[in-house]
Amino acid sequence: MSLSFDFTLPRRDFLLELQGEFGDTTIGIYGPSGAGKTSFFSVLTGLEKPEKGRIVLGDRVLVDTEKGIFVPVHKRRIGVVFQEKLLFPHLTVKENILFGERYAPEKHIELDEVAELLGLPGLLDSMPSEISGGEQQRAAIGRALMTSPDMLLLDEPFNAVDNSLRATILPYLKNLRDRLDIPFLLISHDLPDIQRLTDQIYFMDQGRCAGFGRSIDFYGDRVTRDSGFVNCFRFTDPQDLGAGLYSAAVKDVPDLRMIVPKAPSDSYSLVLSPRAVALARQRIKGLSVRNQIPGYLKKMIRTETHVLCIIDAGVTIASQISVIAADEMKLKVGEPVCCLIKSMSFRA
Amino acid sequence: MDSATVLTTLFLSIRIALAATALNIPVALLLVYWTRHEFRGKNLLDGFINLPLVMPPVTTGYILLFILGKKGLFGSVLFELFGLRIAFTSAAAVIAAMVVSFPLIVRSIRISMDMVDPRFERAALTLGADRKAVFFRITLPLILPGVINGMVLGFARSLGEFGATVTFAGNIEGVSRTIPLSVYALLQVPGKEKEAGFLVLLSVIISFAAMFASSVLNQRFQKRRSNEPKF
Repeated sequence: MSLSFDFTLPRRDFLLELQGEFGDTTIGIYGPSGAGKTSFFSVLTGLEKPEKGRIVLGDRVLVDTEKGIFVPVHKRRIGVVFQEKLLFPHLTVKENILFGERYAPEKHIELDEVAELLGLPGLLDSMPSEISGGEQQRAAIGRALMTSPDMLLLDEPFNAVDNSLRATILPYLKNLRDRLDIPFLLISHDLPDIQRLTDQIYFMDQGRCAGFGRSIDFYGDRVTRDSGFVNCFRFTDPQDLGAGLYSAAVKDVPDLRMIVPKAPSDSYSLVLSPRAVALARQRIKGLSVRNQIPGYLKKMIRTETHVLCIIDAGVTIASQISVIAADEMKLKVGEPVCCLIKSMSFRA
Repeated sequence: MDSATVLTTLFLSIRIALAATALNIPVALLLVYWTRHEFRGKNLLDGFINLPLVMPPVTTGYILLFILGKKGLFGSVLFELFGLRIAFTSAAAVIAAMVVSFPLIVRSIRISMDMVDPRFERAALTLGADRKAVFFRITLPLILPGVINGMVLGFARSLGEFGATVTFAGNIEGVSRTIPLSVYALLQVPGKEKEAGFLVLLSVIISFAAMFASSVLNQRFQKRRSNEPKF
């Protein structure tokens, strides 16, 4: 199932003007507050009508203003998980989840499986007001899934009601992404949150697309400058080294292992701030830093205070160093460098 | 006054009040639902609906007679074309009760409707429900306390209706003589205070039962949505 769109919609302070083509993957929609992310979702779901344009999902034309096509909201088969969750207060969690089942033309998933995937079995008979914010979020996701949608939109799923929400929702989202083969579109104003799930990111700024691709390719751009960009590594095959450390293989990169402080499962991801990556000309002996990863300097982005270095070490690693350090080291693109990463710098 | 007459009056009253409420509820629901959003002339419409609330009921009855009476604007047409007579029938009593209780029902439902977050309805649309399904599965359940409250208020108001009824439907035993009209008629006759008192007691019991039922139902709704964890 693929999604292509090209439409305009005038908003109060800007013109929403978006084009794009998304495949069958998880795509993060990133942009600062007021960039038009939620309006984008409203247009996709049909809650708002674009002034002109065309939206096609799979082989169905949802909107074509020239031909006068506008598929109404309830016939779009696009699952939405709203920021405010919006569980119906008069129905139990189970009734909420089953709400849209009867409208699905074909059934791809059963209640038991949804409940299992989202960790909901014990909550089915509760009322929405009796469960926590994270549980409501999961129930809302389950409710959207039971309609067997062709695409799932998640609006700020990490927007924390409680701080632990992120931790309680992320593993479930990963589960879903791996189990269902429908496109996931995920809005967030927090780049690391998106990076934890996907590296396909659609950057939005003032109602327009500011870039689409891997976050690292847009690293340092206006949109991502203050975004808290992180390196995100996917690990497999962790081996316990004792004393709380693990040696884990970097996914899809042969012969590259990193020493990390966490191994929650056989396949997982950890993030790393570019500031936690130091650079050296060569390997250094007698150092406490556990990870010394050789690579080539692929790209350098200078700002007033720091230099962003993109290093190709089989996997792409971003490092942020000071201008003074970069000048002193006389770093040049194409040269070999060694990334120094303390194992304790990796975060979930 | 024998027990048969008392029963006739009692059942007639209840029948008229029930019919008026049953006919009013769907109309009020549709009206509130369709006039939910601000539009030009909403205040005018509200003023018109609420008119019977502030007008003396006798004048309401007069206006009804003027419109639907045998020689009235619309009533004369009905009579000439179909031989239909509305004034001074049980139907007239129902119409009188409907008109005076309608604003109370509308108000009660509107207060509930204003509290419904339209985002719930939008969420239901995205789940595949069409507008009709959204109304019956989301909107209506959410405003149900207001609907029930409106039903009880409307029923009680209909039961107590006097002025418009006596003007438009008359005071005919078995046709339009409801409890209040009967009490009034009995009080006109010396020595009938006891009978009148009995009817008053009956109407107190019915009104109380309706109010009690509504508060029990409302409590049940609240409990279902409460924050209290279940043990």
